[in-house]
Amino acid sequence: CEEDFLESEIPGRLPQEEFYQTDEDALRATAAAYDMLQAHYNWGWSSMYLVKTLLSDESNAGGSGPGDQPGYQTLDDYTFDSQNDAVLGAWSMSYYGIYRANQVINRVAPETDLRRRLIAEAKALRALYYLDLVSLWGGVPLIVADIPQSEYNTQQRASREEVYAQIEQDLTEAIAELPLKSTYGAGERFRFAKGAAQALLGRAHLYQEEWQEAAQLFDEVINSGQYSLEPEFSRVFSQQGEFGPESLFEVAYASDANYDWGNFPWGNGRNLESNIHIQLMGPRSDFYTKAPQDSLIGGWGFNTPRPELYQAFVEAGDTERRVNTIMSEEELEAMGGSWSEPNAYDYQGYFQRKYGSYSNQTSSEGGSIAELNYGTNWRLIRYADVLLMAAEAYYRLGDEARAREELNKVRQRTGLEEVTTSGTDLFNAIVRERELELAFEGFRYIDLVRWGLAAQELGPLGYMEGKHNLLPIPDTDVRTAGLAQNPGY
Amino acid sequence: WSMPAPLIQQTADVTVTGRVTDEKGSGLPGVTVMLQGTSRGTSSDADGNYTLAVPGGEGTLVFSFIGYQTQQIPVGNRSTINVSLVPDAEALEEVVVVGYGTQQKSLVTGAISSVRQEEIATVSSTRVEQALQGRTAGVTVLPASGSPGSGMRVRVRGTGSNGNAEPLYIVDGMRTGGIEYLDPNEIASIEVLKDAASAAIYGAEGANGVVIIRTITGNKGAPSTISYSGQYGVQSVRDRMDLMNAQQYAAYLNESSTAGTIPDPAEVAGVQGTDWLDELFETAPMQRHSVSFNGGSEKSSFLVSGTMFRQDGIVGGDRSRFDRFTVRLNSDHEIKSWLNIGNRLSYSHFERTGIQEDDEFGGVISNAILIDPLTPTLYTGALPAFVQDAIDAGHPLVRDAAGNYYGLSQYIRGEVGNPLAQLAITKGETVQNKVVGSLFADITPFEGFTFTSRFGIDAAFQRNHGWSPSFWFSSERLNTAASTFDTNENWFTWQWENYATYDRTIGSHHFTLLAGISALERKYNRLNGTSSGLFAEKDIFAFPDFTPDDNDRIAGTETSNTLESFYGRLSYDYMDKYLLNLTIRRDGSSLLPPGNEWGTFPSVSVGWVLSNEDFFPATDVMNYLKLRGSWGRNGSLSNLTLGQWAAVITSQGIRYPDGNGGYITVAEPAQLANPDLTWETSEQFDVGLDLGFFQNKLTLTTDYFVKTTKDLITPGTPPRFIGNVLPFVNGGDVRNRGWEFELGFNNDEHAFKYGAFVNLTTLDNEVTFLNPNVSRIAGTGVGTGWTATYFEEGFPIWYFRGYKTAGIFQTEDEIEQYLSENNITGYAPAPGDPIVVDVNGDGQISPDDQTFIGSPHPDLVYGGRITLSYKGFDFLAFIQGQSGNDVLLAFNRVDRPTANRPAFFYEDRWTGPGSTNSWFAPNTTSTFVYNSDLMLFDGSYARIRQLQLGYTLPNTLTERISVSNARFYVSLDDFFTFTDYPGLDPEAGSNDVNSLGIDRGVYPVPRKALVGLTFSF
Repeated sequence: CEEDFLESEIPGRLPQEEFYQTDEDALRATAAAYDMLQAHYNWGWSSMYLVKTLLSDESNAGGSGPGDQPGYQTLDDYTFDSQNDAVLGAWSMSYYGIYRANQVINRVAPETDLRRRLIAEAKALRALYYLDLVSLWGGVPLIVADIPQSEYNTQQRASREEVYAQIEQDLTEAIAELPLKSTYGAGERFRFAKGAAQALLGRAHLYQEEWQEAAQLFDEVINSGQYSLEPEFSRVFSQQGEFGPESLFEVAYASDANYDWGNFPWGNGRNLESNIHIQLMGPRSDFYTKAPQDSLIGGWGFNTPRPELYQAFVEAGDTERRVNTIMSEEELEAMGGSWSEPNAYDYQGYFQRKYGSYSNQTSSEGGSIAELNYGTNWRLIRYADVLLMAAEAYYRLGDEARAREELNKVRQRTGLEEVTTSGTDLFNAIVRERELELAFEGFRYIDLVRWGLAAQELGPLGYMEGKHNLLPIPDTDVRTAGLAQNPGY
Repeated sequence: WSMPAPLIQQTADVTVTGRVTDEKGSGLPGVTVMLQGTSRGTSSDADGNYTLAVPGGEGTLVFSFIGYQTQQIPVGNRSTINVSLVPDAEALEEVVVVGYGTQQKSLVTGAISSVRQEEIATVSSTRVEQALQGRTAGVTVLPASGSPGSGMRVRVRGTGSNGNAEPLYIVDGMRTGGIEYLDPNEIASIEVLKDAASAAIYGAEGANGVVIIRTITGNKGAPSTISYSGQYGVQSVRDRMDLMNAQQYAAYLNESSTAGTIPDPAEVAGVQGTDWLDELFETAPMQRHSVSFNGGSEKSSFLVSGTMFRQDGIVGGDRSRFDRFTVRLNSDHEIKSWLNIGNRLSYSHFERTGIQEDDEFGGVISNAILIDPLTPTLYTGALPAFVQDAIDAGHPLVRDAAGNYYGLSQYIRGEVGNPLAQLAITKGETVQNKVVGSLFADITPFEGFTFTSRFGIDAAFQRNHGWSPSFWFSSERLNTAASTFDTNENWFTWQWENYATYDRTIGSHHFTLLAGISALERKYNRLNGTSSGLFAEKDIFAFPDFTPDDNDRIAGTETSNTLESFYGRLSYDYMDKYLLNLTIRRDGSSLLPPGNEWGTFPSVSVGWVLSNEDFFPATDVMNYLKLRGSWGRNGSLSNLTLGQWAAVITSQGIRYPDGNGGYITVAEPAQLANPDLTWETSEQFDVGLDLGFFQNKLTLTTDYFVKTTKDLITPGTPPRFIGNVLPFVNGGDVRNRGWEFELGFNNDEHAFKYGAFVNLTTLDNEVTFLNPNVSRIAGTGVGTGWTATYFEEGFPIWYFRGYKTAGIFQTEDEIEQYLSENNITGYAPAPGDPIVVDVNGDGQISPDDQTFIGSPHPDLVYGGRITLSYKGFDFLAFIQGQSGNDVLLAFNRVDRPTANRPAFFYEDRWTGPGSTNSWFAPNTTSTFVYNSDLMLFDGSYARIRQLQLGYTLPNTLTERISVSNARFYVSLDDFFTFTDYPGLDPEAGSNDVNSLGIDRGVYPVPRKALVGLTFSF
């Protein structure tokens, strides 16, 4: 036989060491770090989005019953353990994103402007992933380079401070390189811009109660002239509002992938382009008949709102944000729709509309199935959040006037009267404003924990202080690497 | 049989008749009677009688029969010649086929089971694998489904891998990808090499056993014959489970307080509703025909055969049909005294249509179980309002040929669609053309030495074409634009084997040496595509040429891998008493990482024929006794694919929306490297005993084996914080051990002949090691959110894991007592709910309490066969079964609570304290019920595979029409099954290796009533 008889080429695959050489390689490699966000917030019934949201008091898990995605059910009920698959998924995909960012940061030589910018984007992405990790799990393994196989089980959790230090370093370096949002072309707006990195760094400082640094960064975003509130709240989460003036950072999805029930990539979420979690959260179609003029169509009935949230809008006299966030059964019926099963599982009479299953955010053209093609982007950083974080930071710094100013910008947009209070009342107003403005955006649980309000607000739902303020380290990593477990798990 | 009459009759024929008997005077059927030097000949009938026309009454008759010495008797103008044949001691000695050669059975030191042509000639199974079922110890066969043409899962001595554990198939000396292309009528013999020492000559691919098949060939110097064999049968479903009728369904949903739109029991009082399984199952025909032409001269022989097989499905009729045609040409030629050449060539063609199966979500049979009984099959009168609404909304509801709408359920939607409507929209077919062939030359330059060169190919060309009309069952099961799908797949394997054997006897020492090299390459390519927007929803428009080009999508790839091998064997015996076999094989595969391509697989086996010792008492009772022992090591490559070990970049299937209506290209690091990846290796130890009694009328073979497969390819488990997947590591061991018994008895000394054959195998399967980084590997999901099978150290491969229950709570007091005694909080069962065991004792009933609840593997598999014959009549009974395995009833869906269920859910339900402690109160949602051992049932069964009665016409009768050995038979195949499993079929399994024993609504194995005819002339 010939010398090379036993060499077979691997079709469609390039050896890793031959990649990361050119500008184009760097573009594609960085795109992989963005791409993981799609799966991370969307896939495998273990999305970061629902992990954050179900831990809050905004909603119930829903679905058909307690056996429907037990991982989500137990998160909602605070009965989850270290083997929870949703917790594992959110943890894993954070690190998958970090791995990809690491490859760009460590393997791409910063020889051109483009590559320097892409490395900066990768650093910002790495910080984004780590901020999720540190705020949900506390100190986690700090992986910034490839780890040889022999060292897998010698990795330990870094301290919370060390993780934050890395986040701060990455963002600081990224901010220096990243361009302003307005310099990106229309097809580049998904990329990290300077303002998004500043806001993220501000958020990291806020979470560490470093008010001065946080306020300064939020100021830089506010004064950059790059961002503004959408005049109409209804536009913020619409398709037209994607990457709009209020948007600092979004995870992009598309509605033109032509998915049907046969070709949908259930088994491989990394290939997914649409946002299946929108379908997951649509009103359960078994019981739901949409109102004739409404575009909210049926789905699988997860993430069903709790009445307290609706009530909070009512008490605040906040109609505009309410109707764009939550809908009651009475409102559905008033519009001509109906709900046939008052005893449906985890159903308390309300439907979620912020990330709603709107037929105009999906496509049913050319055999596409509307349920499978939601293009709805997750908004991870938006300007209203920056203003409210600024208000909080200034409040903590004792600058209540400035706090009220930023708070009232957000209230003004939705037609609410200005807040004039001070002291604890002002803080409570910020708390309430974040609850209403940012409902179903994955902030509530983290906010309540860092404000020390979690036991009070979430206790009746099963939350135990000292345990549920952090998620369990997934059992697999406790086992494979001997990571220390969080208390109570 | 006579030659066609020559133009000019030169001499008058003299008719010679007579009877051929054995040494004891019994008539010998099937003896070849030839007029020497001519092609004129016949064979004896069932009583040993023959008739032959001899020109001029001159010449010599040659009587030959396997196992007897050939006799030559001059005719000398006699009209009656009776002859008694003498057994040929040498020829009586059965020969078994081993890798690269044959061995006398009495000298075999390994564990090899054989199946002969006559045992499988009249089976009704589509596939040869299925014909193996129950015939030998140590081999288990599990059909993936009962649908025509579906695959088989063959296991030799237990399941030796968490992945593919199929044996290696060697057909006429060449490796083939499978044996689905063979018709049972083409097969002369099947040998199963079970122990490592026998399989070790196949090295890196022998770890899961080797099945060696020889196809039928012509006979040199024998009369030319034409043989026909055919059968026709009707298939039906056995007694099947009942589903809840309309009243039971309404009552069950109401008693369980199921949410959603449910029927009011008062309104359906007295209504039976639709019996969906009754509507779905039908009787279906099957038929098989084969013709073979067999002939030869003294130097050459040939066999030409053709077979056809057609089977319609008992579900879907011609929509789950399998058609197969095969053509074979085998020939052998002695070119020179030192050179034989020959060929084995087979062409096969199959066409298969199939329905969606093995799927608790959208399968046709599972949907027939799930859909409610209140929905009619068709609407022939006015449409209900909700149906009219759906039509008004523009949904394309499915209609039958007469234009009537199929029934639409108002209670259960989701993926569940009317099963009859699903059949109506099933449009697709797989067509495969396959050529398997080889050429060989045997060169014998001097006595005892033979060099063989054999080159072969296995080429398959397959097309799957189909289309999906537009349809609407629900918002979650619909197609709004008719679309087509096509997949072209080609497999091409070439192999070249070169080996030499040298056989020599020096005094009492007898050696056979074998040495060889081989190379093979396996290539595969695929081109597939979809399109949509048919001009009209008809078959003739369902091709991408007739849809808008913008809607076309194309995909494809190609890959290949190579294997290079060196092998050798020494077989030695001393005076047929002391036996030794040493084997070594060295294989190199391109599937493995650089530096790791090569592996060495040795084996040794020894035997001691005690009955050949002088001290062995010469009695009439025991005439043969052999002790055997073997050890060997084999590999398996079947779970390795190209480049699994490499760290690579891919952009396949991934892209990222740029927010501007376009996408950017993404290139991701697909996986971490594993440069240590290597084959799965099985090590097996075997001891055996072969016994013969009463001149081998009664034989017993028994073996004990321990087979440990190491380095199973398991998912890599780097810590997740490493941030990438390591898809495969060598991370598991599994051990199979058991006893095998094969007992045979045969008495053909008298006109009434009888025989019995029994085989029995015990199996014990356990995962003995798993990469300690992982507690257990998740297998298959059942329904939504339950992983039902796991791979874990200390348990059988892919065991069932779920909640363990301990009866049913009868009263509130009992619940309170249970909760307080076990300190359980956060769990609020009601009377009628199962008592869920807090396995981990943490005071909570949570997913952590799921535990081992059963195993899909049988402890015992067995087969038995009884044959009786008297004069022309023969009778066969063949039974096969297994016990000790569990089957999971997995078609229920907790996320579709309004689905229908089997009737026993209602009939056996808990109705109040004391009513039952084994079945729960009506419940449609609880994971403690549906993800628990309550859904696990004993899957033991015994199935009468064949009950066959035949009659062979006397040749004296058929001789006038030049026909011999004409046999008619009637047969009931797979007709009677004994089992306690309440589902459709305990046997039919699944396509996925980690889904063994999971019933997602199986396509049951049909029972068949057959008539058959064979004759030759």
